[in-house]
Amino acid sequence: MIKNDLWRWNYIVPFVNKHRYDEKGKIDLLRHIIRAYAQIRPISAHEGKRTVGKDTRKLLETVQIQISADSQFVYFIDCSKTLAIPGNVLSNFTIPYDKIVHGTFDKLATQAVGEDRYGQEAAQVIFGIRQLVDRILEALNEAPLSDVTRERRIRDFSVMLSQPASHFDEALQRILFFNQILWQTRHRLNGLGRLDRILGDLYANDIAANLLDREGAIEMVLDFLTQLSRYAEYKSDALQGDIGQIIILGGLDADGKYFCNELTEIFLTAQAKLKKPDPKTLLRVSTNMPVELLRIAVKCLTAATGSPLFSNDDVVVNALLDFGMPKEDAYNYCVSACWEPFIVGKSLDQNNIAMFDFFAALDDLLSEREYKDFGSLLEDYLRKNSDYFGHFLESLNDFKWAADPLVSMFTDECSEKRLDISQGSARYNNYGITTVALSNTVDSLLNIKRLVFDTNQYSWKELMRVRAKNYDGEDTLLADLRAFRCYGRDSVQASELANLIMDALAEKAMAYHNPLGGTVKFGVSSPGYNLQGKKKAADVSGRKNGEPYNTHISCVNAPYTEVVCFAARLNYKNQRFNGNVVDFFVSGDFLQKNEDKFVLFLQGAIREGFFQMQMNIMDSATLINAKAHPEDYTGLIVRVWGFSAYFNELPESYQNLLIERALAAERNA
Amino acid sequence: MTESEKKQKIRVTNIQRFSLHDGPGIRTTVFLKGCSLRCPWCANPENVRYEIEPWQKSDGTAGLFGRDISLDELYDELLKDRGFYLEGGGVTFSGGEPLLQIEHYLPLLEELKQNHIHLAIETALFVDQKQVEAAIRFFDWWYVDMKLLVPEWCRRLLNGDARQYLDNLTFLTEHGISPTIRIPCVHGYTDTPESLERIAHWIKKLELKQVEIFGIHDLAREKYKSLGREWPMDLSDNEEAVRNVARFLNKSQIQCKMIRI
Repeated sequence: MIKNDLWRWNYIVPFVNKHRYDEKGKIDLLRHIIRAYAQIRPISAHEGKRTVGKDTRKLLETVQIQISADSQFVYFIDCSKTLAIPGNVLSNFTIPYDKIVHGTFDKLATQAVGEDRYGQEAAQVIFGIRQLVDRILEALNEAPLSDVTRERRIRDFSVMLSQPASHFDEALQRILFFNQILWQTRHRLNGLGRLDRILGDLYANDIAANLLDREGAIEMVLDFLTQLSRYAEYKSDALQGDIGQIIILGGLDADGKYFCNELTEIFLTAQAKLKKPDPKTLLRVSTNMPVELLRIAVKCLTAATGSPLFSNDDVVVNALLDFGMPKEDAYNYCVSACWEPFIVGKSLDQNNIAMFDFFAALDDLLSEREYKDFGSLLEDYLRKNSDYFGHFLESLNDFKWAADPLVSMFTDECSEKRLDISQGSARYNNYGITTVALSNTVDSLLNIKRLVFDTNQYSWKELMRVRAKNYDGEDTLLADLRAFRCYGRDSVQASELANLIMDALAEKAMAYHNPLGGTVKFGVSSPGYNLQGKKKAADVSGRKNGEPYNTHISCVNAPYTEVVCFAARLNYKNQRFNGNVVDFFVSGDFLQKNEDKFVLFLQGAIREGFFQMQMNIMDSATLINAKAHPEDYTGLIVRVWGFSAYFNELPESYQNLLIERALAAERNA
Repeated sequence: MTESEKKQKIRVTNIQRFSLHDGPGIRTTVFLKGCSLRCPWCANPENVRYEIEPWQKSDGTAGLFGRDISLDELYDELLKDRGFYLEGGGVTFSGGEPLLQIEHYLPLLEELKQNHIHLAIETALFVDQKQVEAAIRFFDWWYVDMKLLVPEWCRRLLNGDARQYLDNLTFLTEHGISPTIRIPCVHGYTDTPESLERIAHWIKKLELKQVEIFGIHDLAREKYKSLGREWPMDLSDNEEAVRNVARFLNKSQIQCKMIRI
């Protein structure tokens, strides 16, 4: 009676792990299962040997069609049916929607079908999709729609697979259709891609032909986003709101010019109006971009949905080029669900498959032996951390990917090679991992250096003894450790140490090859800062047993400019570009009163060279009140890691962490 | 700066990056220690005395207000956010009274100027005219407080010489500087008709175009405590002071902007 994928160990174990350290973990887990997965049944083909293609076809033939009168678009997910596919289903990616907007699905189908196994599997999926289109066309005749809307949607679905889209609304409908198929077929964290770029010409044509005006387009995009925001419970991953429907806007082109159009602004405007945590937007920024667009982005931020996230092309693209990507790909990057650069339509890349903890090696070392000088400690840490990372990378080899004929059809080179994407037929077959506790590790090392070796305020034994006792009764020391946190500040020592530690990892990463021929990328932002911290003993950065690690690249004691300057000193080359986010808390009132200066701040920050940046627009009073009176704050949205969520839906530990960070930001403002 | 100038020191209490309210753009504000006035509503009590002062909070934490910093070190600090000094952003000298120590940081101003850093100052102008004169060529933006111009009140309540202030303000305008005037609205002090008449008179006489008014606040209450002093003001009627000042200036056909400090 529960969703098929929960039966699989490779799904249920990490899922349970994510929740078991939370106060409300068990309740969350139970609620998740009951609400989202009750009544759900795996659908499988009954004839012959079961395959992914056959099951997909069967599923698409049997999903119940629902057409809502509240929208001009057709968008539905039958939450009661799913696939029973063995292995890990590819997720956390975006399909190239331009192929079915400016090209046709039929073309992709022709390239894919054939007598071989690859072609037969594709044929099954294609058949299922055709059947679904036909059934929707039938249903449209009876649907409770206005005549104009019915006529338009019948027009759209009639040529859905056979002709390129001719109109803006038609293209939006087409994207929704294929997006719903992805969700229906168990793909998770489905991004949307560069929609301003993909849809710009159709929008312009409709405007020129007087079929559309700007205001109408905003409403249309808002309707489109609203449809995507539905089925949030079904779509959410680890936590409510972790849905990953990210829209990429703007971006630097290879000729050095910045791309944006009217749609870039329209999507940002509609995002601000949406007032939902997902879908969300990422704005690619550059020194070459128009200031006016930043102004609109800051306006969007004031809507406090956590969007847009900023990705600095001046740094990110260089890191991708350094990785060896050709310009055509590096300049056209999108991201996986949160922020990990992803090349749409050419990648299997699974960018958030595991998390590495920088503190684990130091934690073990501090308990193992006494050090007489800092150099030896650092040397041993680097070696041990490298060893741990080596074992960690080996564990990645165990991942097995489920066959995916649908995504293979959309991905370059798969049909040409007649090989499913899960077998490594895409151009990029890399794994992406996230990391936690670089900040806590750097600060711990520097505090040990200062207190034990530089000033001799503590002996090694004494400091380790109070650490082992979780600093009980040592409030002055704890305050001192926290006051001297250097990560995220001006400290060159801290940024150099952070780079040194990452250099050692990068060396291992560059030597690693996964079974599909790809390598591994890492970054210093991770969802795990809260939960992983719960499992770990006190460090020497002023973090006590079980307290969360520091969030992404942040420092509650430093002004925003100082954190940005620190982030700009980190090295993002050598495969360490899998998301490196500066994370700020900003009071909504402060932002609204200083919009112009925040535009200047962003301009300066882009020039300084941050990698990515997100802002949580919230004040502590609101959060504290919302925790005490959740019934009054049902719509309160906060940024959690790479996604936004309703505050009320978060486990208590996240709520507390957000309140603490908001308080710290206000003290600092 | 010469090597010996680099080593020269001035006394500051704080260097605040990402300052958004001390001039155009994004700024770094240096708070210099020491002031010639003793305004009872002062929001920066730690900047009033020149001497380095110990503080202690009720939770037992303690420290010192004030430190001496070399011009060299200060220069590096002020340039850290240079990348953010766009569209008029830059460095602001505040206090305390930043002009009191000006002789000691002229080489720093020279260096900043040569590097095209926009410079602003927040001053009450209760200083020797030579100090104003020394500053004139460096600062691109002047905030000048206008508090109590009734000579007796000014002397008794603020420890200031209103004549000195007005001479300095006139001196500034004669040198082509059009400062932004900031008027603290303090009930029973600056919002009385007698006080406001003089303020309006001088604003008109010197043709001052930028006028900002603000209500005082008690955010420094804890700082006062940590210095072993009590916050001396009663703010219960202070909203009225802001209304009084705004109304009076309006009636006098002086445009003013309400700000928060």
